[in-house]
Amino acid sequence: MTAMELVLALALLAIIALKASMVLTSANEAQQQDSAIMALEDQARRALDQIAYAVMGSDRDSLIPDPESPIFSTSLRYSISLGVEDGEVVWDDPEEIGLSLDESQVIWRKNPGTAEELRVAWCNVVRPFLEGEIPNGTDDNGNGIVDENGLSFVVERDAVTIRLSVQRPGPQNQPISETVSTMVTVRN
Amino acid sequence: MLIRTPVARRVASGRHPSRAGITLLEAVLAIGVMTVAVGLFSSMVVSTSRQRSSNHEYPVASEAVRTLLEGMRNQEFAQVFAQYNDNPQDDPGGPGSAPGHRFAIEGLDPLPTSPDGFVAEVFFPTFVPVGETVQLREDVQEASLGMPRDLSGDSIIDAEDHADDYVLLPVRVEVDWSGRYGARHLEIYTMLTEFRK
Amino acid sequence: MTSNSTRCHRPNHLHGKRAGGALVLALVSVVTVAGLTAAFLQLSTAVSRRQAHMRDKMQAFYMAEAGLAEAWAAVQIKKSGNVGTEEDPALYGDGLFWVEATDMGGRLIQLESTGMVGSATAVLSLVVEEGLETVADLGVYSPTSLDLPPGTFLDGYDSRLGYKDGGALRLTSDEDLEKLLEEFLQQMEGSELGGLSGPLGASAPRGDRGGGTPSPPPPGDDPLELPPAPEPVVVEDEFAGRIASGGGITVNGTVELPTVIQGDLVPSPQDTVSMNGTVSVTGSTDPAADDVELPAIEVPVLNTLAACMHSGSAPLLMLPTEAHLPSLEVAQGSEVIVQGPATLVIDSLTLAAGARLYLDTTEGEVTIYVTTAASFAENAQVLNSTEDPANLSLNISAQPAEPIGLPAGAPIHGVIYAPDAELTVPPGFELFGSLVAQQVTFAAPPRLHFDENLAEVARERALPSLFSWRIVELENALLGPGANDPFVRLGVNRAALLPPARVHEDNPLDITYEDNGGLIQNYAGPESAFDWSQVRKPKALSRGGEKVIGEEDLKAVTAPTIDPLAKAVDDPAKNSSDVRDLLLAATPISKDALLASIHREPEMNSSHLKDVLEANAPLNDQIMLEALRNSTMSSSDLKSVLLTMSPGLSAQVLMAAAAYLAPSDLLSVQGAQ
Repeated sequence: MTAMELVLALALLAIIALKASMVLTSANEAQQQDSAIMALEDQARRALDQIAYAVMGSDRDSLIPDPESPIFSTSLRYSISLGVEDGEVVWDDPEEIGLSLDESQVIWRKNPGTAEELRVAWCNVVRPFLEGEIPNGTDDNGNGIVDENGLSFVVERDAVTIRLSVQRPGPQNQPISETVSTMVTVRN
Repeated sequence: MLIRTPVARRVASGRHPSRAGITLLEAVLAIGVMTVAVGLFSSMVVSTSRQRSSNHEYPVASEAVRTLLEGMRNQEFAQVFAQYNDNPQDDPGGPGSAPGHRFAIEGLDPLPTSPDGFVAEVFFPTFVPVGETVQLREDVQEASLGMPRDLSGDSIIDAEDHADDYVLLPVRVEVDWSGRYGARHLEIYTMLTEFRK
Repeated sequence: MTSNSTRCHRPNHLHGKRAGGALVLALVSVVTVAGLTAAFLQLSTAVSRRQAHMRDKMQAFYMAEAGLAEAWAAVQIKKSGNVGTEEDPALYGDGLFWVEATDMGGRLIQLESTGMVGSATAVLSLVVEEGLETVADLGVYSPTSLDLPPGTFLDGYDSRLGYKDGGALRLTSDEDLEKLLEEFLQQMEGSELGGLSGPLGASAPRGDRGGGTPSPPPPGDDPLELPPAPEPVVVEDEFAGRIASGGGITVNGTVELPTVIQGDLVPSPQDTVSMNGTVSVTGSTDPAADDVELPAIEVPVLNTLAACMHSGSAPLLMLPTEAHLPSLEVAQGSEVIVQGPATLVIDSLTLAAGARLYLDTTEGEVTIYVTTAASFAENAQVLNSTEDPANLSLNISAQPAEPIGLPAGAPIHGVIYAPDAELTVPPGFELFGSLVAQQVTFAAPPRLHFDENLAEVARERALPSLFSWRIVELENALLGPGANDPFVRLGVNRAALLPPARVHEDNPLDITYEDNGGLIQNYAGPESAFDWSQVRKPKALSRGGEKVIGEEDLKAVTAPTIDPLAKAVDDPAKNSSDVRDLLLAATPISKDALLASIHREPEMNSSHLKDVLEANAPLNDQIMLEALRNSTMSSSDLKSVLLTMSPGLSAQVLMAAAAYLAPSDLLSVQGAQ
């Protein structure tokens, strides 16, 4: 009896435990996938937000380059106002937002190309090309720009359209991507 | 002479009546506990799933509104009202050429009650007199937009249409969409004016 | 005997292990699940919170921008720019804002707007540069009385559309011409000597073009007695000139030299307009509502260069610069070219006979200050390449003992301002723009064309402009009471807050207005005590002693006039041939339309553009220089256009042609000069 009981109990337990663990495992995998996507999107949006507010405060005449659609730029150099002193606008040191050399990071630089250069990586999982775009000389994703990189800037009058695509391996090693974009107007 | 065995040995002998069925009971209890745990986990999955939807939908809506407002700023100020009101006849580039007052947002589904399948709408302080087209009015009672108030810079609140001579433009953008777990709403307020450089 | 203890023997240490084993397993599972749950929830909650904060930040940002817009609109109408306070902010939408204005001196005002929505606070700073008071919209003005000689001609035009008519009357249709001829013939019949007073001498009542003919004056006893001069007429016109004075205005005209005033004559509030002889006036002769105060000239301090004396046949080219010259003297027959944008402070400016001062305003305005002495020979020339008066200003702050004679060798397109000097207008003087001086003496009848665009430019320049914008602060509240409610954080009662329009800082108001009953009323006192609902139309308005720009002015600035033809040129649906046909059909076309055709995207065909330019010849230097710099046109087509206007091409155009024409084409053009 006791052995029977034990076997029965263990069998029941095993079955339930197995089922429970299967549920937990699949739910866990799904959650991990969801969490990875959520975290990636969050990272992309935070980077986009930082870029947007930086560009808003810049001087229109200081934007370099000045890419009009369908031309885009993967970097944008600008200067923001620190205020007014003695009747003159005080401009901060030039800043630049662009891709790293391997085009996988969004790098913010102050005093780019000088000995005082300061660098911060705002995002480090940038796709080589914007989601849906392949380097074939055509506008594959239908946004009016050809072969744009994972980070692109397009200027029209005082507006700058910023597009960012990020990608990283998911929990099951398949790549997950997120694309975010916004448009801001230069205020100075 | 009989040596009395220790209690453990008496228990180990299996002759204690309370020992019978304990393993099954344990198993049942364990199953119950695991069931509760799995149930809790499932509800957590649902709630984080809701959160993830919100975490995706609200930023999409916010970003779309920002793009819309910045697009307005990039227009000729005098044409903003004509571009974004609900009267296609006054569109500067010809009837129907302007963006209009209602928009779709990619990634957001409209509410079942949406008349045109769009999710976002631009609101100005407007009034439509009988038999006439939409007017930009100073005497509209709309507290959320700070109305009634002077919009033309003459300090007077009148009942005229100021579509051609406003210097200040209160605007509200509302987004209503059908989220994964119900209706969602977002609204942003601002005022536009022409900052001459 | 066998012991029962041997039947189910099990080691003691193993007996305890079996008891509660399943529960342990269950507990382990629960702990694992709890751990996973906590991790997922933490991540998701963190992301949610961050997204909510970003959303609140964006809303607070736009709320602060609303504050800046509110304050900016206030500064435009001479309010202080203070809107609400931290203790009493403005309620707007689902948040609040307040704006603090700080006078930074030097016409700069800092507006710092704080917007709060949800958990976020945004602080934005905008530095505003107050507008400049200009005199360009005064037309021809002198604080002393003006005496217009017979033959004076004044009209108005808009430099953006170009000055098309060189005659005394702007005819807008063949119908107008017929009516005027009819009037002329009627006057001929009624006058013994026949009418040299012309169509404008006909006594058409004001606003009634060609209608109503008065009975001719009865002849006197003496058959040689001249009939009395016809009454001045008022005929509607599209653009109006303006002559104003701080005293009276006397207008003289004769039969041989009638004076034509297509515009307003505005004497001081205490004076009137006197008209003698053959004078026709369109527009008003009502006195001004207020005296005009001429602002002093603020001469900038610039780096000093050497004095400049230029003689010789080759022109001297001054590149865009801001400089002070002790003197600039242009000898007889010589030319100095000043490229804009440029600001020159010249202590002593002399243009000898036949000298030419050419101001190339294609790339920017040229502003000249003359501080000590100015001497212009009568046939000296001051030329403006774009012929846009808004691009050239000549400010004479000198106070010479003798009057300064203005150059009359060529029409001047610009604004001449000499608040402390007496200017003499020589024979042949023609001005497109504006002339303001302490005293103006007309030695001969001038031709004066007031550019109405200057009035709009003056209105726009009087308005504030953005100097600097920046984000001061953009952050979210930490956890705690009111972390998500700005009203709680600030400790204000939402229900007690007022909308933005009602929380502006109080201003001293001085207003003359027409009330709802049609009566003219006055009020001077705090604006908070004034009931605006009783105002039908303000007549004069100032806040804090500063005159406010009126609604019409703002409306004019926000609705600029653009030639519709210029917009049609840019229609991408039209090809080059269509555009050419359209422009040829509308010839002569405005400067805006010509420039639009030169800069069209997609470009016009070279020969099509040549056809349009030739049809609209002669072209001013600005148009020619733009056509030369434009890469669309071939050398031969450019040559053809230049030959159409030869001889008479300016040195500037010839110099530019040398850079863009093929050698053989250039030789042809040069040979034709």
